[in-house]
Amino acid sequence: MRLVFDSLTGNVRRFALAVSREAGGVPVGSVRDAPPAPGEPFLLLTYTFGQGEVPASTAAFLRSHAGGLRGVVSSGSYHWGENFGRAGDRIASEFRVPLVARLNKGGTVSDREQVTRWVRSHLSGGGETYGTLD
Amino acid sequence: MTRTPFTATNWSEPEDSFSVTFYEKYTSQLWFPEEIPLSNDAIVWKSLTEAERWTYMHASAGLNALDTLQGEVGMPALRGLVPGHIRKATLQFQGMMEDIHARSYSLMNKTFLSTTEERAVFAWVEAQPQLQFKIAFIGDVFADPDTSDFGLWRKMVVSCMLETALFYSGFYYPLLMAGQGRMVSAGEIFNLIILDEAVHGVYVALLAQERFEALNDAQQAEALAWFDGALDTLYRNELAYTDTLYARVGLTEDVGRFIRFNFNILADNLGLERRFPDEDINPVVLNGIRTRGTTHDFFSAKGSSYAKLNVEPLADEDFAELWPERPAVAHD
Repeated sequence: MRLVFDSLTGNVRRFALAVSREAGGVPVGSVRDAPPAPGEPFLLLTYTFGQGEVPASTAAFLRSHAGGLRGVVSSGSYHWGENFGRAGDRIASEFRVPLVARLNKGGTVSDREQVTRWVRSHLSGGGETYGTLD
Repeated sequence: MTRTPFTATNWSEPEDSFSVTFYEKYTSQLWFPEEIPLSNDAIVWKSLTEAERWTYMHASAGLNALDTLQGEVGMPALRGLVPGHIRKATLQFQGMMEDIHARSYSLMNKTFLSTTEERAVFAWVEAQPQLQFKIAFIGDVFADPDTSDFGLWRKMVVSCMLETALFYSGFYYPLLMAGQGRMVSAGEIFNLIILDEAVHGVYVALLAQERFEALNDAQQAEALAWFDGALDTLYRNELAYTDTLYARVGLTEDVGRFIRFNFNILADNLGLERRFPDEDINPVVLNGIRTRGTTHDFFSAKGSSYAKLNVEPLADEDFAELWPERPAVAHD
């Protein structure tokens, strides 16, 4: 399991780095420069822009790497009401993966704990599925 | 003597990866207060208690002063100092939006208040010590002749403090009321203003992060110490202002929580550590943010729930859908 983030203001990058650390050094990289190996499972962490849109850089990344996507975390701004963090809902429904957390900007301590728990549970047990056809 | 030639704005080769997106965002969410009729609220206004009306009108008048400061002083100061035609255009657009906000508050006053009440509330703005302190503190940073990276960063930071944190003592009450189903059209205007300010706060914070990155370690430490001091001074001033506005409606504590929540968002935008512990905010206030406007006409639909309408040319497929080549066969 690896963490892949897309970040504009740095909030998602900082959140991803913190989760990686707290989960015991899980590999982490950005959609731009550290793509996962084909089929390697990963958690995507991204942000929301416009009217609840998926950032173009995230969409481009998913066009070639969706195979390993296991879950999504989306950051947004609470000001947007129903569109708050909506990129996450869109990705979750399009790729049929769980929306692990919706962050208001950089997220809270409890958001971080929740995502770290999710990542840990996918490191041990059913999450790691190298070599199988799932 | 040779002059440096004046250059034109090249939108095909932007100076960074994000300014064009923000500029386009602003053009797509541009709105005017005249688009939202307030007549339903004028009836609700009369049903409010005197204390409720007092808090509402003074919260809004304070916001008018702060948006005037941003439109007239803050955004022009940043626009003058930030290099890049597209960045300058984006900041100037933001300044114009602030002026629209100030006009919105004034139009709401005009709708709900008598001329005598209106004059009294504008006089209150001039005499309110915490409001004037806040304006003077921030105005001094904008006027500071230091235009080094550190000086520019400070100007951007106080701009973000307004957009992302210091407006929220004022936003609280109209959001709470809208969340309770009262003053919902005015609440729609406040929501539109909040969406604008939320994006301004992100944009200027991105510019600020660049200036912060340009500082060396010692300067960054100095910058952070300045930030802590300024935040502490303005936060304490804000609590006193909040007490003046909200004590009579018994909400001082709850507004304090909302202010700390928004100061944490400010820190997130600036890429700094959050200064306050995580707290939940009043769900009724959140409900005020989520309240869907019902007053928009179809063609001017904007806001958090609507996109500006796009036009696309008719294509053959559109007709094929209406008049399929083969007649539809009944399913049985």
